[in-house]
Order: sequence, then structure tokens, then C-alpha cells
Amino acid sequence: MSKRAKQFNRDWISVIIFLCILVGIMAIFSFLAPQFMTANNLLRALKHLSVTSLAALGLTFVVVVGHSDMSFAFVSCFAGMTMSYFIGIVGWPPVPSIIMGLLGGMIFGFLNGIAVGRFKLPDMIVTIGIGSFAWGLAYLYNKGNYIYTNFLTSGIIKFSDGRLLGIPFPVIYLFSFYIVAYLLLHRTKYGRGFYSVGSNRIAAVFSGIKIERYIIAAFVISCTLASFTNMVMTAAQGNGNVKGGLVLLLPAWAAVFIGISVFKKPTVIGTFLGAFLLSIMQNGFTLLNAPFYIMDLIVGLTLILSIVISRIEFRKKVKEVSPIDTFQAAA
Amino acid sequence: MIKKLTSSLTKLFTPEYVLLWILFLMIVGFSIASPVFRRPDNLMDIVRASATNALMVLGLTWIVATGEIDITFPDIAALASMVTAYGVFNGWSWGVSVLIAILACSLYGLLSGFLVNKFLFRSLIATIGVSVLAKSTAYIIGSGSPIYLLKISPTIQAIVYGKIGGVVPFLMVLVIVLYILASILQNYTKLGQYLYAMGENRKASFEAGIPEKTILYSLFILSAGLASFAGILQLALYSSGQPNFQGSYFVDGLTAVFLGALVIKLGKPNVIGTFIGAIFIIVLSNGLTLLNIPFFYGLIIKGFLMIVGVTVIALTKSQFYASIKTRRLRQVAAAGD
Repeated sequence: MSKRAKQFNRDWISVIIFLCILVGIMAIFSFLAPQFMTANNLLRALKHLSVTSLAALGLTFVVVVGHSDMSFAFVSCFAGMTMSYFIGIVGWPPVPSIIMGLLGGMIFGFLNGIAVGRFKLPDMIVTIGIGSFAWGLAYLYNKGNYIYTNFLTSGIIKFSDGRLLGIPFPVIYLFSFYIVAYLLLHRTKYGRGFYSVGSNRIAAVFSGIKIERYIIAAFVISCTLASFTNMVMTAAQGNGNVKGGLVLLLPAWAAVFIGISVFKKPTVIGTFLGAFLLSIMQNGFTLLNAPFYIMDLIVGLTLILSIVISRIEFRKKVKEVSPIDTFQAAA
Repeated sequence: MIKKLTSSLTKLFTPEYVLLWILFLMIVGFSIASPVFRRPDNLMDIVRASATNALMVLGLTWIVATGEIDITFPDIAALASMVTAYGVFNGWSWGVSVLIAILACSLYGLLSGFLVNKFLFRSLIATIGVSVLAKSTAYIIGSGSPIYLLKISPTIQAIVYGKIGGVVPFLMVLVIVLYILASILQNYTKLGQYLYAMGENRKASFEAGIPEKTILYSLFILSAGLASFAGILQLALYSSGQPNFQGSYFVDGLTAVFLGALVIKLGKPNVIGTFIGAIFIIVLSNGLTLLNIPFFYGLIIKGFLMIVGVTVIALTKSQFYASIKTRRLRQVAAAGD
């Protein structure tokens, strides 16, 4: 076998293992719960998937440039409340309100990006600080109370419940955003730019890549997509809630890192597969009448096991290469 | 003599002590504005609450100093309170239940350390996984609801509410002793040097033969153990085991550590700073509540202070960045020639 083919095998073996596990899990669920494999239920699972996976997609960009974002969930609360404020209290139609909300999210993403990219501040501290700031601002709109006036009449519910050719809108958002992100990150020179900023920053500087702009763009994408996700959630619930977006934080991180464990680097498809695995399992366990807190257990176990498995494989691979690489992996 | 005095006075106005000034002004301001704030029993409440919070994040401080992070502490604390409540509810003695709770929680700390050391997880991801596990275990123990207790052990009552000589709260003394021990460890032993060396440059500290893995294991176990102890003390406050501590422990704990990093050792997490940070947060939220200002203004202020603080650190260190930048520019210029 040529060297290239060997490399190909190694890279794809974890993907094949992962897909086998996914199919196995789906088979077990369809055996235990007959209604699992119905079209209606799968559409419902996809609708749920659109919530976690869009936030995870934004986070993927931040992880690709080598940073962490802890603020997107808090920022999405702010964006959701901004939208609810314009719909419920000012009385605007849905589309301009959504744009206002997205703008709010974008501004905080931009602040994150400026602080981390331009001023080189530590990402974890800054994003927690900005997140807490944004979350506090979200409370200002209605003193922390729910906003639900005007929701039924304004038509915002349509953005979650509407269908096009029988496909729910959230599923359409899901696939359109993923396709755009895939093309951007894996098929353009800008995507290469994102990866080079993350993998070797000094090399990126000397090849003339404007690092700051890429970092800012990554944070803006992360916060904007999380805000968009919270819009869909707000539309689905029919009220604006200051704590609605907080549930995004852990599943989004879990999805991104399950994706990394499959493809060995953050990718759009990997993130999708990670989110898909989590959503399918949540859906299956709900059908089996499992209590709500089982979901946390599943997210935690899946995250830890997937990375452990990928590391075992990775360590073997490193041992074959050279002692120097082993040292680098250890450090 | 006078020179010494003036130099120590000017030292008080350096960026290292700005947070202390803000804290001082805040306490004075709240005391003037609210007669309830300056009442002794309210001050005791502040002391009690900040002692519990400070206990929860002592281990976290050192973990952040080594450049890792641990976000398990609120969930570990909740788990400890649930395990203890479960044990007592089922008729075990208090001593046994507390011991089992601390041991069980230390196991979760061990798991985080294991994932970070053995499988080279990034600590953020490892602790996200472990905290989710701990949270769900806590829910499973109580089948999704809190466990209410009729009676709390007098020992724990005494630790939380007891006062030495009727004045000084016992809990505060305990926490201060712990923090003094910790700051001696941090400032006068090799361990402290190792911590900051690891935070500065992991490759260099590995080459220098610092036992990183042992340190990380013990730090994660220490963090989990202290968090679980704080959780057991919360049991006395709520008189029930709570699977999910309502409130902002997560943001507050990290804020205490990061704000604390602005005090004394500029830009580096240290135990005294964390202690001041914990007091700061409790004073802020208590004062705002008493002045009838909604708590979310506290969130805004904390977030704002954190961002300002980090910026101050970056600006004071910017000479360092500037030197790197000029060197790089020179290199580019040399390459151009």
C-alpha cells in the first residue's frame, strides 16, 4: 500500500467507526421504540438538532482559530430578549426585530473579537466577562420577566412552526447554514485562513494573513449564530426568556469536541455529526420515557468516551512516527 | 524611614491595589446609603456567604494559575450536598455521609485529572464532561428532586453559624486559616514556584522536570474536595440537598478568581486575591439587594470590571508586547533588505 493510501485509511477509520456506532444506536432505538423510525419523529429530531447544532457551528469557527468562547450562550440570551422586546413591547413586525436581535449578538461578538484578536487578552476571561455583561443587559428589557405579549399575533411563531414543502423551517435553516459554512471553511481560501490562524499563528503572519480579522470574524460568527439559534427557540416557545439560551453552552461544546474526536480537527461535518449523535440520543431516550436528567449523563459520557477512544488511536499513531513527535504530543 | 513610608504609600496606588480601593469605597458607600447594610448581623451574613464561596474556589485558583481551568465546582458542590442528604435520609450517621460525599466528589476530581493527564484532554473539555456527569449523578440520586432534611447535624450547624466568643464567626476563622496556609504554600514553597512556572511555559516546566502530572492530579482532587466541603456547608443553609444550586455560582466563582488575579500579583491568580474577589462579589450583591437595585446590575458591573481589569493587565504588560513587535518589525525589515 502506498503511503498516501495508508494515511487515507488512518484518517477515515475513526469516521467509519463513528458512523457504525451512530447506526448501531439508531438501530437499538428503533428496536426499543417502534415510533422512533417514523418520518414525523425524525423530522422532530432534526428540528431539535437545528437548535444545538447551529450554536455548535458558530463555536466551530472559534475553535478553528484556536480560541474558546464561553460567551455565546449568554449573548444569545441578550439577542433573544432584544428581539422579544421589539416584538412584544415596541410592536415591530418579526423580521426587523430579528435583525435587531442579530445586530445585538453581532456587536458582542465583535467586542469579543476585538478584545481577543486586537488586544490579545486571554479569551476565557474576556468571554466570561463579556458574557456576564451581556446577560445582565438582557435582564434590563423587562426586569428579567418573560415577554409574551404580541407573540401570537405578530407571526413570529411561523419562523419555528412554518413549513416549506412539508419541511419545517428550522430544518431548512439548519441545512442552509451548514452548507454555507462548509463551503466557506473547506472550499475557499478564507477557510484555509481560519485554519492557518489556528494551527500556526506565526506562519500565518508571515504569509500575509490578517490574523485579527479572522479572529474577529470567528467570534462574530459564533455569537451571531448562537443568537439566531435563540431566535428559533424563542419562536418555538412563544415567549422571550432571559435564561432560554443558557442550555446551549454545554451541548454545543460537546458537539464540537465529539466532531474533533472523529476528524482529529474541528470541521463542519464533524460538528454536525456530534450534534446529530446527541440529538438522536436525546430523542430516543425521550421516547423511552427516560427522565430529563438522563440527558446530562448521556452528553457527558458521550463526550468523554468519544475523546478517550480517539486519543487511544491517536497515541498509537504517534508512537509509530518518531520520538520527537511523541514529545510534542505530550507537551 | 519617611522614604520607606512614602514608597509603601505610593505602592498602595499601583494597579495591584485598585480592586482593594474599589472594595473599600463600595463598603463605605453601601454603609452610608443603607442603614441595614451596616448592621452587624448583615455584615455577619456577608462574611458567612463569602467564606463559603471562597472555600469553593480555593482549588480553582491554583488550577487557573497553572494555565488549566476547572468548571466542575458548582456541580461538585451540589453533588456533595445530595450525597450527604441521601446518606442521612437513609439513616447513616452524619460523619459517614459527609466522608462518603467528600470521597465520591474527590473521585470526580480524580477523573478530571486522569482525563487531562492520561488522555491529554484540554482541561475545559474534560471538566465540561465531568461537571455534566456530576450534575446528572446528583439528579439521579434524588430522582430529579431535592432531598429535604428535618434536622441538620449540630457539628455542621456549629461550623456554619457558630461564633468564637460570641463575636467572630467560626467559618470565617476556618477559611482564613485555610487561606493563610494556602498562601504560605504558594509563596514560600517549591509548589508555588512550580504552579507559576507551569502557567508561564508548559514545555519549559516539562523539560525542567517539574512533576506536572502529580501536581495536576492533586490540584483537581483538592479543588473537588474543597468544593464538596463547601457544598456540604450549603446543606445547612438550605436544610436540604439541592441537585442544582440555583444562582450564579459558576459566574461568581470564576469572577472571584479572575478579579483576584488583578490583586497583589498582577495578572496571576493567587489565593489572597481570590479571597478578596470572593468578598467583593458578596458585598456587591448584598449591597445592591439592600438598596433595592435588581441583582442583574451586579452581573453588568462584574462583567465590566472583569473586562476593564484584563485590559489593565494587558496595558501594564504591553511593554513586553511592544518589544516583541519591534523585534518582529526589525526582522521583517532585515528580510526585506
